[in-house]
Amino acid sequence: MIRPRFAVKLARTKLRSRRGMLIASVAISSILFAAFIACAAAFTGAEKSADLFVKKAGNDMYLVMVQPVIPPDVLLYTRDLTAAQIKDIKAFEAQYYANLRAQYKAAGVAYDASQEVSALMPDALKPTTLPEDQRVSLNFRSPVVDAFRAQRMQEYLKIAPNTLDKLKLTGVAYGATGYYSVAPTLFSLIPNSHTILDDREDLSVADMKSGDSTSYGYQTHAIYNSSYEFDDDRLLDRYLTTRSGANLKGIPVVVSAQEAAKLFGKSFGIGTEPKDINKQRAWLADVQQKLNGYTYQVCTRNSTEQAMLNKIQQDYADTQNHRDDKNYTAPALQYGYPTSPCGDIVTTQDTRSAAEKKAADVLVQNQKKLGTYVPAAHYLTTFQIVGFMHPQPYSNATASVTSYLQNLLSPQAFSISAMVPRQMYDTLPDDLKFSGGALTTDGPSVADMQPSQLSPHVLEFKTVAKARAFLDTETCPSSSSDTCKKLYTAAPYGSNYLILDEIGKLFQRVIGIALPVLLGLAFVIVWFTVSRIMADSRRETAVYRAMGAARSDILGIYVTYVLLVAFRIAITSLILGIGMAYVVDVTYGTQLTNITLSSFGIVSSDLRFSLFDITSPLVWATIPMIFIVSLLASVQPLVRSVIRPPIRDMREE
Amino acid sequence: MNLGGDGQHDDIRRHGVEAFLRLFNNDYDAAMDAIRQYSLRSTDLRAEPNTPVVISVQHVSRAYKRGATRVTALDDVSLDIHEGEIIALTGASGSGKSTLLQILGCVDRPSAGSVVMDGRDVTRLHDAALSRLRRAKIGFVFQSFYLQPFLRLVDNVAVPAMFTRKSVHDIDASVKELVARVGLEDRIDHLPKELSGGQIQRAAIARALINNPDIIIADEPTGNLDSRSSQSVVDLLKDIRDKLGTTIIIATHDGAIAAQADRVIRLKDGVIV
Repeated sequence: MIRPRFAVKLARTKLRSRRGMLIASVAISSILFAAFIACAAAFTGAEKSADLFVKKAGNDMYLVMVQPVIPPDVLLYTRDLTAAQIKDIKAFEAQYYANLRAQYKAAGVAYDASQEVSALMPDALKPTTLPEDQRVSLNFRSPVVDAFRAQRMQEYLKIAPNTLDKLKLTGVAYGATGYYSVAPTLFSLIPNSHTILDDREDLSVADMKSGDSTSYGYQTHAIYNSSYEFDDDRLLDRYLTTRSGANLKGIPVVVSAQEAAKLFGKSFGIGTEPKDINKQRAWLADVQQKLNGYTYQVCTRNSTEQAMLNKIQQDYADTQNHRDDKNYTAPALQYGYPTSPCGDIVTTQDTRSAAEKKAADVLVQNQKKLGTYVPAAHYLTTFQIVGFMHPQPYSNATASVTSYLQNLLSPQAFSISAMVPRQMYDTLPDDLKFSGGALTTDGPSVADMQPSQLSPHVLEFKTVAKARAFLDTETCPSSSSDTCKKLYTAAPYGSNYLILDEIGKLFQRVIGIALPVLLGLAFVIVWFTVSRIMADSRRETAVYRAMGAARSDILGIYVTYVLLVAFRIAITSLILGIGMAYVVDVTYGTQLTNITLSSFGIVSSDLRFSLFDITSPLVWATIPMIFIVSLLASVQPLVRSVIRPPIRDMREE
Repeated sequence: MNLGGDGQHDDIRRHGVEAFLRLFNNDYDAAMDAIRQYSLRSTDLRAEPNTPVVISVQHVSRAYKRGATRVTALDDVSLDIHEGEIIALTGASGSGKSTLLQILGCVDRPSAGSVVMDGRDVTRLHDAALSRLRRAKIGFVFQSFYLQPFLRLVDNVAVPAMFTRKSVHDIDASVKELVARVGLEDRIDHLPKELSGGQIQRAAIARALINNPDIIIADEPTGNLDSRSSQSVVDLLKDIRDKLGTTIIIATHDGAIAAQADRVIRLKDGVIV
């Protein structure tokens, strides 16, 4: 067969014939393959970047937050109470008030039965088909209901098939680890707390502020609402800007960047969050840099002091309302606002009669006898910011590509609280920790209503596949707790890695379809081009044959020609494809980085979301595929040309 | 001059007599045609050289289909060609001269008969052996030159050698020598489009010689050239024959060219006349 250098020399002359068609063929094929290479490079980059972000969000693991499904009838969340439940509630109520009466009697305090609040109340909306005594619903204002539900929860705990211990047994099969406790957010408020800003205690009415009434709205007002929860340090790692518990001057807390900027940023020259997502990262970095380690204080006043504060406000309002009423008599007992942040509430006037004072004293004595007396107290708590979240508002996913991507990437888990890293908190000296009284709440304790064995936990999985298997087999989606027939509801935590994994699989499927189509198109284009070139070269082939070229020589020349064409397509495709991916990356990479950082809540990272990765085997596999397809497409015209007797083309002269 | 009594010589004699009679009758055009035929035929009368036969064509016929019609291009042609001969094949278009040339050049196979080269009936050789034979023994010169338009002259001349196992060095040396022989050493890096018709055909002749063939088959080599270039090409071919002893077979319409051949073979309707 002809030597390669001569084959190349002769084949190259063919590249100049039918140049327009050849350029068009190479261009079309190259654009097709380049688009494929660009997609592969961009998607591989996106997939790897997403995985980096997912791992960063999950500390190199795939996290799942699991919540045991508590049957609705345990806490009486059922629509209609059954006769048996009503009977149980009534029996419990009778016992509850009997115990209360006995307590009063033992304390020597007169019992006022008129203050009893019935656990059941008539419900006119219940169907008349029910017996009359079942046409009732729970009266949640009654202390009996809470006590009854707490008791039922404790009873359920004894028989529950989905306690933490049983969850751990289930998780073994999936290699689950972690089991980090996540505080139930509904019970995370520190009651009656007032933030101290600019040396002033905010003594306004402490209604919860919610902004847009979504979890975003609550979370961006968590400091104002004194809404805090403990979380495992490992789950907060992505937010932390300070990781050492040493030298802390207060309770470490991870807060929303938006609220921190709003409350504390003014003196640091930090403005409100810009709407342009490309400017948000710089803003966030500014917040992180300037407010990391910032301390602020909260004054928590117990129920007695809060009642005094309420009275101050009420008295002031009454006085204002009656300032033209000459018959109005100001309250005999009046308090004054504390003169310093978290200072004592002082009595400014006490003109009560001796009888009034005695009645008040009796009340206090009775409360002391019953063990319900709460002396006025307040607690000053210092928090130190050690990290920032960057919660994103809920937006219409179809409003823009950015919104769509944000919704796509935003993790399912959400909170309404600022977060205290549990392990970091544990290293604090006692005088910096929460005072016990500050966390006291009225009514049944959090532990009673949601014991740790039945509280949500975050599990770690080493792979997406294991996390997915656990989620699919053992749990229902979090949104389906009402209809869930399994023991747990669960959702990915920290990131939407399942969706990203699905997108990855979808891409593989698309590639599985697109690749054969692409190769088929390239086949047709190359076949057409080579056929035309071969047809045009018949005379030349005949001349070569006359000069002594064997069929194998002709084959060598044209195979070389096809390889040269394939080489041009490959090089053009590669340069064009990589260039396209690069341009896409330059154009959208930064924006995607910002979207992803925001959506994943990773605010303390220099990760970049790249749409450019040419390490994908798919990118490089395209090159041999181009050669193989070109050669296969050339087989038929090549064979036809080689076996054609030269005389046929010489005779036609 | 051999004026023996065989049929072929009778035919020549007839042309001579006819020319004389036409002149006598003042039919000038007819007389010139008869003189031309006499002149052509008379070259056949030159003695066949004593050199060995390089190609022996025996009772060769060639027929092929053109559409639904069966065309007989050659009909029972026999011919011996000797080493070092310059042979002119003449005849009108469609007379079969190109077909005979292609059979002599081993690019076509006869429908019947044999073509013997080097003692072998080449009609029985398979394609690869025929390719080897053409490569080693035969050089082609075409009316339309068929130089590669995108190759420099030096590469064009080398093309037939590219199908051999000759070393690059040997090929380069041969090319230089041949280019000098055809007088184109100052055009060695030129593309065909930068050469005149005569220069192109000279390059084509150099290309035909690159594998040092025993036979050169030239199909209307001067057909696209002016008379000056044509004579230059013929002179070159004669020079090659004189210096290298190469057998040269030329198909031509040109009587002046044919007249310079050692022997003229005239074909009419597929038979030698």
